[in-house]
Amino acid sequence: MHSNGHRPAPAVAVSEFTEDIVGRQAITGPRYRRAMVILGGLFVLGVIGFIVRAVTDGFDDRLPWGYLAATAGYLLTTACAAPLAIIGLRAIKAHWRRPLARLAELYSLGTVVVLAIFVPLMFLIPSAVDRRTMYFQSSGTSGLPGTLGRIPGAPQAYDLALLIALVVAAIGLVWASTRPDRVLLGNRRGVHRGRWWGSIKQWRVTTVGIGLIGAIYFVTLIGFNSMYSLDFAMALVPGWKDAIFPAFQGITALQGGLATVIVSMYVLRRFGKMERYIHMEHFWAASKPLLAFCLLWFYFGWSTFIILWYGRMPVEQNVMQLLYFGPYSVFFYGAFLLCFVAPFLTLLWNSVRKSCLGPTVAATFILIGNLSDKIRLYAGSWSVPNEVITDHALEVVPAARYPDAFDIMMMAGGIAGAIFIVLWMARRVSIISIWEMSEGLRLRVVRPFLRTHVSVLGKPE
Amino acid sequence: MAQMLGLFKEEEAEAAANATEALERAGYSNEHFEVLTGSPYPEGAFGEREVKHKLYVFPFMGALLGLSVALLLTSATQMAYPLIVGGKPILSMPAMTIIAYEGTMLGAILFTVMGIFFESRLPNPSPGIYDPRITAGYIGITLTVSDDRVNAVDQLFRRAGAADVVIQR
Repeated sequence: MHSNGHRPAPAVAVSEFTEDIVGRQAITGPRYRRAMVILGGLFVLGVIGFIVRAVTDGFDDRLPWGYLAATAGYLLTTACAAPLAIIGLRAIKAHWRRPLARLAELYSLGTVVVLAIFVPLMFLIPSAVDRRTMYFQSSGTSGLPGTLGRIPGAPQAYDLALLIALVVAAIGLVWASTRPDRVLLGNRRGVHRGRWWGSIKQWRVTTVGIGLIGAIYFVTLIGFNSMYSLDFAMALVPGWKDAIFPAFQGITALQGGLATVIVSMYVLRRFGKMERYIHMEHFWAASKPLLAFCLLWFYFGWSTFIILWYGRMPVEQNVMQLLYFGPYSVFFYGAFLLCFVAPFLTLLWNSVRKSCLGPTVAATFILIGNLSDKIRLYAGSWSVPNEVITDHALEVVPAARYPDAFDIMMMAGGIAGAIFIVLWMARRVSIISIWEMSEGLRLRVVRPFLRTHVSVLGKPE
Repeated sequence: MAQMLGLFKEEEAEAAANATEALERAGYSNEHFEVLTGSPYPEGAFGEREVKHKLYVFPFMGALLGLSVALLLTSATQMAYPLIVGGKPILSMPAMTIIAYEGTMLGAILFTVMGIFFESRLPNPSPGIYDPRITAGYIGITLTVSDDRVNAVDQLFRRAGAADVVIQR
């Protein structure tokens, strides 16, 4: 045993692990049922909130929908971004990813909820023609600085196309990575469906394919997140010009995605009784990039802020008020404290990082702070009326619109919907990837070394 | 002709590797037999042949097709509506780049998914011999032999340590 009391987790036999997970799949526990009822109820409430909002406010005014836009932005940078952590770890062949891979990949199906939210939001955004967008569309009659003929459907059609690509990538990723386990679970029920035998070629194609789809999912998510933040936030505020903002949103996605994985990992370990497979080492390992992402959050956030703050040109002053110190300042301070200050000060200490609870607390701060950040950005920019979005500068800072009951219902419903899908899928395929874990367990042994024990890991690649 | 499947317990994976060597000594090259497992093993663990696949081609083909369609769409719509504003060119590369990126991604994704589907099914469209015990951890070695060699291969598998041999004529 080490002087600090840490000892590698004992090795588990592949057959023992498989039987344990398959056995768990056969039982639907009361906690699972309760969680599904609560999440399903919240999702239904969200749908009711949406219907009431549509009936009472319609789709003419963008203002009442700002919190729904923030929900889509939040899901993009948390649930949908969770697979990014695993895709990255898989690319660098980090073996500690194995118990978390399936959980993170299932979160990619949150893109379906984003698609459902995105479709009505599309109708609230005006065409790119005669507006300052990255599509440079001009009708030629307004005198506004468009530089070309029309590309029809901008920006909605192209944002939608990329989101559909993301949903297809998510479904492809989940389909490919769950295929061997679906066959295993089917065989246990006496059903062999599909054309999966487990040949060497099938394994090779599956592992390479997951890597390829994962890489494409990564690029597409960062791309769509950038376009969503540009078309559904920045382009709606006259005078807001910031080349770093999409990259900043990319960093919030990496941070929020990893935070989602850590919190889910804790819930799975604590309430899903997975202590044998999810160890403190997983939290410890995940806490290090999380700390780095907190610092990157500050770096990119500061870079976007300093342009407005130091330049302080007349055209920028009201933009700064809207985004930072004006009506939505409480959300800005909330985001700054919870996405940077609190998690940074928490994760600074090795003794905190080297625990299950410490990184989980920091990740929880980040998930709350991320929501605050999205409210500041989307509810803020959606409060700018259509009549002024083609102006050169924001002349009047619109008043804050705090969420009402229907906004809260829609936000809770959207978030609950994404988690509901993950849990629903977890009953159909195991929440821990059986084949990926089996591969890893086979390559790991615990051996005595002098007065302690060490974990010996085979790395065939 | 008969299809044969030798099944080896997971904890006796060494026996499966020995069986593939015995098969090679008996005149079956590693082109003739296939190793089936419930989870991936390191490449070459059973002395099997190097797996060749064309999966890397699919995303590139899809990306190229998507890029072409996107460029065609954006060029054609702008050329069909040739409005010159401020003396700038009709075709605007910055705006076209966004749509080209989207087309490229969409094409790459669709073709990669299709690639996995085709590459993991083909070139073996018939289900072949299979045993559900493989997903329970057993290692299977499957091959097709002439009827007069069934007994010899059966003995070979059993001598190597097979837990069971399944024969399908």
